Amino acid sequence: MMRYPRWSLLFTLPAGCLIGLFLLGLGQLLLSAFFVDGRWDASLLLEILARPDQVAMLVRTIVIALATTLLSLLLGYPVAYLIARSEHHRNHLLLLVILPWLVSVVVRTYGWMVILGPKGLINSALQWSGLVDSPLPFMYHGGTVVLGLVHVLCPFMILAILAALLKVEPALEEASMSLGGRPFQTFLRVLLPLSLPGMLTGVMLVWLMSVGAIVTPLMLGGLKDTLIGSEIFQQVLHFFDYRKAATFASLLMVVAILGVLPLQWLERRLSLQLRDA
Amino acid sequence: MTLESHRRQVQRRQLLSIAAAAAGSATAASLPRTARAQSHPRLTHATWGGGVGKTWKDAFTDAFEAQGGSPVRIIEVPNPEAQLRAQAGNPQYNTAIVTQVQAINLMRDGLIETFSVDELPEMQNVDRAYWLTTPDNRLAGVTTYFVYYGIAVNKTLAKPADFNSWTRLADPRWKGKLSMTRPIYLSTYDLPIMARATGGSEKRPASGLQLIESMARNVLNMSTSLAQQNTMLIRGEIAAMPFYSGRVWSMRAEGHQDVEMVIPKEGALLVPYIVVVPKGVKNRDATVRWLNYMASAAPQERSAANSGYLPANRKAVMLPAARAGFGAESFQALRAQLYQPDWLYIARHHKETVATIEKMLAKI
Repeated sequence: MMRYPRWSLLFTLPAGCLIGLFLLGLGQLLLSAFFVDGRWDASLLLEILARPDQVAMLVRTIVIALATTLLSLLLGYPVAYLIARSEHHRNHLLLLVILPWLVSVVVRTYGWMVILGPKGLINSALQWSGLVDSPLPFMYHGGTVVLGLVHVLCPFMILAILAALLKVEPALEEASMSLGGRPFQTFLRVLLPLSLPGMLTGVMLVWLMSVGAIVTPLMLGGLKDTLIGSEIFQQVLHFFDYRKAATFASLLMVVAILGVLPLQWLERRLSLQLRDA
Repeated sequence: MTLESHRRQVQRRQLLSIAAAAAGSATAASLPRTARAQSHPRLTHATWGGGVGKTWKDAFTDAFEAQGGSPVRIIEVPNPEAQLRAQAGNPQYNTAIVTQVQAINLMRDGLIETFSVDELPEMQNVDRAYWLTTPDNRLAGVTTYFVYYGIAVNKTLAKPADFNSWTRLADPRWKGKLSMTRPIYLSTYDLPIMARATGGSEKRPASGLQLIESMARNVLNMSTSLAQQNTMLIRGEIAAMPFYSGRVWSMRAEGHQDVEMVIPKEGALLVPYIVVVPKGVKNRDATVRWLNYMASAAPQERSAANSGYLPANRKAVMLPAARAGFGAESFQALRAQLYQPDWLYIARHHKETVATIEKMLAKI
């Protein structure tokens, strides 16, 4: 076993500080949410859970985050595969995926208003061609929020899957095919298991970012599409009610963790299986 | 001593005397500047973005400095109230403009300075109805100007006469063609005026809530920012929405003549803006001089002409060029159409009203 000199522990200091600060923030969040004058107090949490509209908001947050994650996975996998197998144009394609990050998320979200809004490109074209008399309601509902979030978060999924796919030797696919495996069988039995760790990482990233999304749901959502992230934003910046914001944030954290823990367990199990294989 | 060394000594003496004279004159010149800096320290004033800073520069700060006042630096921030709260105990601004409800909340939390009426004599020219005072009758800020909250109409989709009453917002004819703001502002602005328009008031809001519910059934979306609301009105994505007169004035000044402000027959809501001073402010005396200046008529007349803000100072006169923009002959005539609710009551019940509206909208 390799032995490291004691002073090399100093290298762990930055990471230790980061973890310490994170835990400190987490502790502070829970303290502000559930301790009043040094005593345990979950009354705000109970108040939130007693309001049907706020429970509906919690459910909506989970549903929209799930839909975003699933759609990002379905759209992101083929793109990641295409990039992984395009040896000559890989960098160009990768650039196309990353390019939107150079533009602010607010501007990107406004882009959807220009495309899908009542006076947007699609509605204008439909009205001009005489196919419809009045604009179709493409905007301001849960579907648009999912669309906007997929647009913003899909690159994370693509990059996570791409990292896994790049480690898969194309020769393995060729071997499967030469042994009579059809493309779908090859995908199901060779490519999918080997790229699963990347998929799980992508799913975790997109899930975590979509449950806490603020800007996109605010801009693209309709009357009843407020998500918990937007509610936290309101409590902090408009009501300055940090306790309520912390309670909502704790609730959001539980939801996020409940989604992530099984995925992490699955990822660890898969890694072990792949190592043994 | 040789002739050469004597010359050198003379040159050194000359140099020293020149340096001393230069240093002396520089010190002498800097003395009045230092004295001026002490009596006229640089002040900072926080405003919202989106053109508000320019209004303050053109109408208030430039002229204040030109008249011998302190130089005032305008800092545009997304939410001045949030800044004051974040900097509590260590204020970075001398003054900040906030809405009446925000000022009341800051006053309640003890985060702003208060002043005697003697300190702010210009406030005598502002009607007492618009003063924000503490229980012991100290001024908690300076009311500089108002906007009004009426109905903004895009004339390519609707006629201004279509919205001559607040109740018209509930007409199913406008389904999918209206927008409205979020509950936090619905509770502060829409509810008081809609309650008033339907025979109630901010204290008896049931009929107003009903009207908001009916309007909500017609809206395309619940807009989340002024920028989004501006865009939707300008692009003609919506026919109308309850909106601020100041924003419509700006849109029209930028050439968007299709957007027009309507004061329904029941009147519009008067929305006052208050300049407050964070607790423990530095340079209090200079800040008080600045407050008095902004409470005076002249800068308020300029902000009215430039940006469509209604002056709070009753001595301010509507300039002839601004009459068309305001659609009125005088500020008094315009103010007669505006409703001033009990802001203290609104602020005190803000959270529960927001919760009521949120619950109501969730059922639609």
